[in-house]
Amino acid sequence: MPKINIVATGHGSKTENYAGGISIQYNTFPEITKADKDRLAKLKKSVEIVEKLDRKIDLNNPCNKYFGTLPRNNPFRHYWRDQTIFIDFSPSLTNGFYGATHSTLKDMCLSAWCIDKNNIWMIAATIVHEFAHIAGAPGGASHAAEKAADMCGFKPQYNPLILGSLENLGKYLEKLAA
Amino acid sequence: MKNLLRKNVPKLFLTVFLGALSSSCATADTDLNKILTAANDVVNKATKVEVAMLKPATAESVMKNALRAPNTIAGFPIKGELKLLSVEKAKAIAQDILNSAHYADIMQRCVNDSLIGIRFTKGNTVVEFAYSQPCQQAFWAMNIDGKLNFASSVLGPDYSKAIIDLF
Repeated sequence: MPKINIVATGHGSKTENYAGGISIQYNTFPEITKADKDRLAKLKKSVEIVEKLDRKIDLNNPCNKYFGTLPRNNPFRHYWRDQTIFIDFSPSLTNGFYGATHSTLKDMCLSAWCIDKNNIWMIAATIVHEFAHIAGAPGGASHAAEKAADMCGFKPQYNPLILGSLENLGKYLEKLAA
Repeated sequence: MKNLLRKNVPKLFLTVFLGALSSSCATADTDLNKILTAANDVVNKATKVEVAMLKPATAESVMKNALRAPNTIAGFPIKGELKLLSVEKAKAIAQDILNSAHYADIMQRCVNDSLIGIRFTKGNTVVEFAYSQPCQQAFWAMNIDGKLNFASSVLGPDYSKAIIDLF
């Protein structure tokens, strides 16, 4: 499973800057205050949910199959068991911004808003969403990654309003229907 | 078996052909550069520009409604009134939104609260644009050679101020 970026990992922090003045931080999780520790504990519970999912499902499960339809053509298991992937911390408190995936496809961040204001199931769904980006689900404003939350059993956490690259959504829906 | 194949081959060809046809109609072109190039003339020389606040919608309904339902812009339902925008203001916005270098390919999970829609019309040609908050996503819809083209990307705060100031 992925590693949580805490000081002990030595992974450090980084920022990715984009056109138009957008910056996203991929930081080490702070562990100083009680709030920091509570946040980390909540994240660990969410990671455990996804870990249980990975152990429970076989390669023919819709989750693994759906990930196989994404551009890098590997099942969910392939990415989840890659121990070089890190879950980082974004201090963003923007309502509605859950997290992002770094262009190296080795780091994802979860926002402070996501962890502090949502339950462990929604955080777990966000982790699966970001793994879909690592699996090749398009960036920009793609819906394909959000579809992964639905396909991996997070139906109540799946949000059909998260959308973007409609061509790709159409293609994935066609593949799923086939 | 041979008889079965002989009987069904024409049906099979028809199914594959119709499948390919419906597939090409159902999926839009997401190439942002293509749509920005095609939209340039209409956006820069629009004779009528309308703006409105929009409601978030699902991917399926956006795709179904884009440039088809009059009460939508880029497929998103219009909330409130459609207002006319001066050509001067529209030109300032056009400079920001027509440049592909202003867009970023960001992989994020984000839920939109609201959108601002702009409909550019020149003669019989319509180009529709929507910009969302807080996810900063830009959506373009335009018919090119009779086919719906739809593209989306992320437009950062440096280039979206004029849009946000509309409301």
